[in-house]
Amino acid sequence: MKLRILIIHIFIANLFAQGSITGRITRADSGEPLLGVNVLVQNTFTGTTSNSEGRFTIEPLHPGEYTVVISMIGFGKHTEKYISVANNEVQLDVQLIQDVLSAPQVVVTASRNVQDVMDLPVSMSVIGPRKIHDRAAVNLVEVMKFEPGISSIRGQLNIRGTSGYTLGTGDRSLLLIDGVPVMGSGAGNITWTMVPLSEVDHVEIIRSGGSALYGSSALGGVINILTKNAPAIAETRFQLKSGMYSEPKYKQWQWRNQPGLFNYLDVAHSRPIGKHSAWIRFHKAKSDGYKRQGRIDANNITGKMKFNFGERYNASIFANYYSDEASLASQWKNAANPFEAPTGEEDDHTVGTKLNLNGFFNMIVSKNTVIKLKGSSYNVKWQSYSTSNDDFTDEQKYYGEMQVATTLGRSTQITTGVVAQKSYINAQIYGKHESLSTSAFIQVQQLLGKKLTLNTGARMETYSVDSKKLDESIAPQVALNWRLFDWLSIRSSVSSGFRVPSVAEMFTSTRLNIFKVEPNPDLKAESSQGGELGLMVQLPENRLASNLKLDLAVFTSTFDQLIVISPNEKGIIQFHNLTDARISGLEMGISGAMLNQSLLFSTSYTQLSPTEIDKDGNTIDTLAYRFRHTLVTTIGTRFMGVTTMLENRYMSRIEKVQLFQENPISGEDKRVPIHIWNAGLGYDYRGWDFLFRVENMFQYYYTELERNIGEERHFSLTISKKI
Amino acid sequence: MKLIYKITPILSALILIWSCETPESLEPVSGIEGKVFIEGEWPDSIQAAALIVLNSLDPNNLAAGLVTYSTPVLPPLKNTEYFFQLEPGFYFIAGVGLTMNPVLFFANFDSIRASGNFPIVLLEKAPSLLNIINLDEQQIIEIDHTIKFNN
Repeated sequence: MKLRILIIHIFIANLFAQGSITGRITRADSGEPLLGVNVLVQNTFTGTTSNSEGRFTIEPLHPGEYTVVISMIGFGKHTEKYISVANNEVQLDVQLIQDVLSAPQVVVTASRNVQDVMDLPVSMSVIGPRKIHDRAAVNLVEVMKFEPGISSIRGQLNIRGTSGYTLGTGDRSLLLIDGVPVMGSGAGNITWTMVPLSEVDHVEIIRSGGSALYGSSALGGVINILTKNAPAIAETRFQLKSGMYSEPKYKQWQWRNQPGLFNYLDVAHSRPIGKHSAWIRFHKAKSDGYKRQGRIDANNITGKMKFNFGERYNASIFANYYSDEASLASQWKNAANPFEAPTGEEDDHTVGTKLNLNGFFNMIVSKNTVIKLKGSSYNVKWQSYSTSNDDFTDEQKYYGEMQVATTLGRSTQITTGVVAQKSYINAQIYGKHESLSTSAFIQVQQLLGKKLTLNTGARMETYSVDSKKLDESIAPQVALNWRLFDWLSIRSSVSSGFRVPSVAEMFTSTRLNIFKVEPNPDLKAESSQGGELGLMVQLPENRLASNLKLDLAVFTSTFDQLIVISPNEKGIIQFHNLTDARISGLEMGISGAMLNQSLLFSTSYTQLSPTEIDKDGNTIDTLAYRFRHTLVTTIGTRFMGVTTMLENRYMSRIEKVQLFQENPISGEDKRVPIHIWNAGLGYDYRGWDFLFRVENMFQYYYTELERNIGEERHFSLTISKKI
Repeated sequence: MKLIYKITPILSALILIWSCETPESLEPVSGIEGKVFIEGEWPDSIQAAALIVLNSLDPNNLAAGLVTYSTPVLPPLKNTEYFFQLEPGFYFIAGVGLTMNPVLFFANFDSIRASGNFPIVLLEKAPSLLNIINLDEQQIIEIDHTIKFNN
C-alpha cells in the first residue's frame, strides 16, 4: 500500500513538475545584450523573445530533454541540444556571432503562430533586410521577383501565376502589414509604393494559397510585411538613392533632350521611450520615369509605436500616410515611339492620398492562452486628370479581428478567431457601393511524435455587396510537415481557396479605346482546390559552405469560375467567369555562400503550366499573361568591405494576351522573352554604405503587357548611414 | 552531402552561363505614319472610317491582300493620327468606310476575314491606290491621307 502511494505520489509530482529555461543573449563581438532574439523550443509550441537586457525565460516546461533554437536576423543561428529540464531552472547564456547573410529563421504567417522555417507545412519565401538593402530597392516587387514562383506584370504580383494581369484589379495575393490586410477595397489592389521598405524587419510570402487562414484575396498567396520594432538604443538612419535613366540605345526611340533622373530619400529615427519604443520614417520619391508616362512625385510618412505593459500585455499602433502625383499610363504612342505617350495623353496624371492606421493588442491571459485584437482603417482618395475621362475614387475600409491561441497539453495548439471587414466605395467608373465580409477561422497544429507536425484548419466567410448576400464559402486546409532530420524537412498540403469579386470587377463601366467596358453584377466568386509537395534542406555550416538552402516544390491548383477580363463577340469588355482552369508546375530555389562567405550565390527556377480546361479536364487554351519559365540567378562576392553582385532574370515569352495579338504578317505586337542583367558594386567605409547599381545593363527591350515597353537601363548610387 | 555542397554553386554558375544565350530584344520597327483628315459630311451608310494596308491589290477581293488596319475614326471626328507597323516590303494604303458597327467589326475581325465578305467600301480614288509604298528596314514613311465624302 505504501509503495502504491509512493508511486502515485511520484507520478503526480512528475505530472505537475515544471521547470524553466532562463538566460541571457549577447553579441559575441561586443558583449552587448540583444533585444528581440527568437528563442524556440524545438518540437513544442513554446518560445519567447529576449528583452532589452537580452534576458529570456521559457516556462513552464515539463521534465525532459529539449533542443533550443536561438535566432535573429543578422546573426548566425545557435542550436543548443540535450538541455535536461527537471523541476528546476536551467541557465542558458548564449553569445551570437554576427552573420550578415543570415536569413530569418522564425516566421509567423503560415500558421498565425511562431514557427521555425524548417517546420513549415506550406511553401514560403522569407526576405530579410539584407536582400532589400543589397538591391537598394524602393519597391518590394523588385526584390520579390527574385524568389521562386514569383513574377509581376506591370506591378501586379503573380504568385505561381495565379493573378495574370487584370488591369490591376482583383489581386489574388493578399498584402498584410504586421498581419493586417492593406488592400484597396474598390479594386482589391495593392499599392506597393507605400510599403516602408527601410523599416521592414522581414517579409514572409506564402506561395501556396492562404484562404484557409486569411480568406478571400489570399487565393494565390499571402505577403506579410513585418515591420521593425525600435532597437534598445536610439538611432537615426538615412538613405539617399539617386540615379539616371539611359537614353534608349536606338536613335529612333530617343525622346527627350536630358536624361531622366530619380531620387529617393529615406530618413528614419527610432528610440526607446521608457518601457515602450517607437520609430518614424519619412520617404520622398521623385522620378522623371524612363518613359513619358513614368513621372512620379510621392511623399510617405510612416510611424510605429510599440507599447510594453509588463509581461502580460503589449500593443502597437502603426500609421502610414502616402500622397503622390503620378503620370497616368495606358500604353505607348506606337511601336515606333515606345517611350512616348499617345498624342493628347502626355499630361494625363493622377493625384492621390492613402492613410492606413492599424494596431494590435496582445493579452497573455494564462500560461497557455493568448488573445490578440487587431484593427485597421484604410482610406483612399484618388483623382485622375485625363483628356478622355476624368475619374475619382473615394474608399474607406475598416477591419477588426480577434484571435485566441491556446495550447492544449504538450502537442496541440489551437488558433481560432473572427474577422469583420466593412468597405465604402464611391468611384466615377463603378458608382457608389458598400460591402461587408465576416468570417471565422480555426487552425489546429498537432505534433505527432517528434518529427511530424499536422496542421488542419478552415475558414468560413460570408460576403455581401450593397446589403445583398453575394457568397458564402468554406476553405479547408490540411498540411503536414515531416522533419526527417535537423537539416531536412518534407511538407505537403491540400487546400481549398476562394475569392469574391471586387467591386471594380463587378461594376466598372468605362470606355477603352473604341471598346466599352461594361459592368457584370452577376459575377460569381472564384474558388480553387490545390495541393503541393515540397522539400527543404538547410545544410549545417562546414568549411566548404554556409547558409546553404534548397527548396523544392511541385504543385497544382484547379480553379472554378476563375475571373478574367476579355472582349466578347459584341466587342464589349467584361470581367467574366471561366468555367475551369488549372495551374500546375514546379519551383526550385538554391542559395548559399562559400569560401568563408566571400562568394554568394542563389538561383530560383519556376515552371508553370497555366491552362483553361473543360469539364473533363482537357486543355482548351493557355491562360493569358503567364510566364511558363522563370529563372533568376544571382552571384556575388563580399571581401574586405567590398561587395559585388551580378543578377540575371529570364522569363519566357508570354504565350497569350487578351487585347493586342501578334500580327505575324505586319510584325505588330511582337512579344519576346525577358532577359535582364543587373550589376552592383558596394563599399562599406566607416559605417557609410555606398552602393552603385546598374539595372538592365544591356538595354534589353521587351513588353510585359501589350504596348508597354519595359524599364530602360538606369544607374543609381545609394548612400546610407546609421547614426 | 559533400556532393550537394559541390554541385549547388556549380549549378548556379552553369545556369548563369546558360542565361547568356542570344537575347531577342525588341528593335526599331518600320512602318507608315501620318494623319487622316475627313472632309465633307459623313454619309449615313458609313459608321466609321479607317485606313487599311494591302500587300496586293484586288478591288473585288480586298481581304486577299489585307495586312492590317487602323483604329477606326468615328463620326463626327475630322482628323486623327495613325501608325502602321509593317515588315519591309511593298504596300498599298487606302481609306475605307465601315458599313457595320466598328466595335462588332473588330471584335469579329478574324471570322469576317475568313468569310472574305468585308462590310467595307473603298473611299480612296484609284490614283491613290496605285501609289505603291516601298518600305525599307527600320524605315518610317510619313503620309497624310484625306478622305473626302461627296455629299
